Amino acid sequence: MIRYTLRRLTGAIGVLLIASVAVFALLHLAPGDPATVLAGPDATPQTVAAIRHQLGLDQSVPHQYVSWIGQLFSGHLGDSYTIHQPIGSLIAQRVGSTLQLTVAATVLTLVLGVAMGVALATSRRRVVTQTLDYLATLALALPPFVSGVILIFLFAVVWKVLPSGGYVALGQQPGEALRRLILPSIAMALPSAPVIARLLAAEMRRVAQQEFVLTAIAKGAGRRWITWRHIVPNSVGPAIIELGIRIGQLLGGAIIAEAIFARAGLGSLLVQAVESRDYRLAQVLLLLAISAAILTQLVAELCIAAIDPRVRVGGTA
Amino acid sequence: MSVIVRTGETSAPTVPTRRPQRRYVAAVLRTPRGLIGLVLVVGIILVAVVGPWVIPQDALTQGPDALVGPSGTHWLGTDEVGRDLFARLLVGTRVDLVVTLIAVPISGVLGTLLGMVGMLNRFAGSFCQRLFDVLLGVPAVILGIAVALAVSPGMGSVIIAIVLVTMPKFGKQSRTALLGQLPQEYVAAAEVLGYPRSRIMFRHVLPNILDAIFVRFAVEMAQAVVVEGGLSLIGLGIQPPQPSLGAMIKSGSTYLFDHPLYSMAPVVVVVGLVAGYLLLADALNEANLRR
Repeated sequence: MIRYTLRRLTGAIGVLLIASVAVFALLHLAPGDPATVLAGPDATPQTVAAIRHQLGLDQSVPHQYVSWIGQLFSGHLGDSYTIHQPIGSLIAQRVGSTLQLTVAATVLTLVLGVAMGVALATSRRRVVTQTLDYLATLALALPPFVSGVILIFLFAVVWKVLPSGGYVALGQQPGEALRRLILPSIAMALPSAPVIARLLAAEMRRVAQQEFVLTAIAKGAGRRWITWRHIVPNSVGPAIIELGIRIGQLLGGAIIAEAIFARAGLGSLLVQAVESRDYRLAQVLLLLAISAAILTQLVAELCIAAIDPRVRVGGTA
Repeated sequence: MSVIVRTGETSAPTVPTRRPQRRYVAAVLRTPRGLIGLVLVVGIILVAVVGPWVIPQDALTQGPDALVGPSGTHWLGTDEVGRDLFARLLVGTRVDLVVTLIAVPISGVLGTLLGMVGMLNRFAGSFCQRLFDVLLGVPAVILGIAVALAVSPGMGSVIIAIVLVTMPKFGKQSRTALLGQLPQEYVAAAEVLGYPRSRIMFRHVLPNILDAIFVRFAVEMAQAVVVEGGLSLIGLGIQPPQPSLGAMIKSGSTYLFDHPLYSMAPVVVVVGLVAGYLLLADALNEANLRR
């Protein structure tokens, strides 16, 4: 387990390093001189030079990279150019909203996915499985920005039961905050849940053929007991790994959901930063999102390895 | 063992005659999924290609009537500056199709070839696979935003983003399919005959993994529509005044109460396209499995 953990960890750190170089390089790939762009069309050469100095653009490229990484690790992220506030406090203000949304969407993905997967695998009626299969395809075809608008239209405009968006801190008004989480998290979970469901159902059908299930049947255990106690725990592996990957994608979905549901979160901050070419802020946020995605993937892989020794041994492939 | 007969059989699909192909297409169309998928995709493409020439309204011309409902002159009504929504929907769909139909084939060819590189050079092969792992680790939207930061947002940046998002999936798919083909006897036979590896790769293995790549192609077309829509919606994709489905959905969401068609019409097109591609992918996959 330790060897496996170390191998995965070095892999994740390697990916993170490559990602940090790539994110850093974005500034230099950009067309034109970033300092000139930031200073605006009628800036004096002095202003441009000052901005260039502040961005560290007057130093060598490797030196810039190292000092940037140093800043990230020491937590001195500097000020945003366009919003004129420390980047650290900007992130602190917004992180709660995005975190809530991602957690809610992840939980919903898992619940919906497991429920659908178990129903798909265990139902004996063709009508049920066929309907579920079509529903799954339909849900897959609903990216968050599409289902989001449909949900707002139905629940906020036609039936007027839920708010169309906005963000309230969970600490201040817990009820209202949860109400505002419902629609966006459904929108985010819809395209992910069927993936989980199909993986789980396929694995459950495979596991159901195995001898220990036969033993359980022979022992006289009930159908429901066998499904939840024996088959599901032995089938969740692939689904959990997929969920680990999906959380990263859900984070991406959060950016879209924040735009549709008018929530002030890290996603809307990132979009704002890119639109105003606020490189510093955008780079930090991009790297943050990528690290979060890599981290959740790593955690999922390690969880599975801890549960299932076969993964550790055969995990080289 | 009847080695010669068996290799003769397995190499048959490498030189496809016309009839198995026709049967393949028929197998895809015979399933309800395949038929619905094809009708959706082809229908939307036809309307988007022909539509803008047929209707008299222009997508960019502003008019005096802002935010009016559907009428004889404006089939879907108008937007906040009086532009005809139906014309904008058609042109937006067309832009989406142009972007995805440029990006995904490029990414398909690149990804498939890079995924097979390992057959010629082991080091290059594993390098490409690691590269794909890195790209796959980054959420699609984040990748698209990063591209928009590096090059200014527009059709070009969306195309690059789609290529970066979908290429690794083609790469992984072709690698998996390739590994499935290598132990087959026709590959060994070609090696015994002394053919160079590049010839075996292109002439013998590639035609046999194409069916898997086609399924992947349909799936990634759906993914590309989602990426384009999402990026345009947050304002980092297709730039105004050029219409795009994502941007229409976003600006229409403000008027859901008075003018629901504004954003529902592009929603229907996006769902139709994505569902169409996914259904086609399902049908193709089924046809492959049955063969």
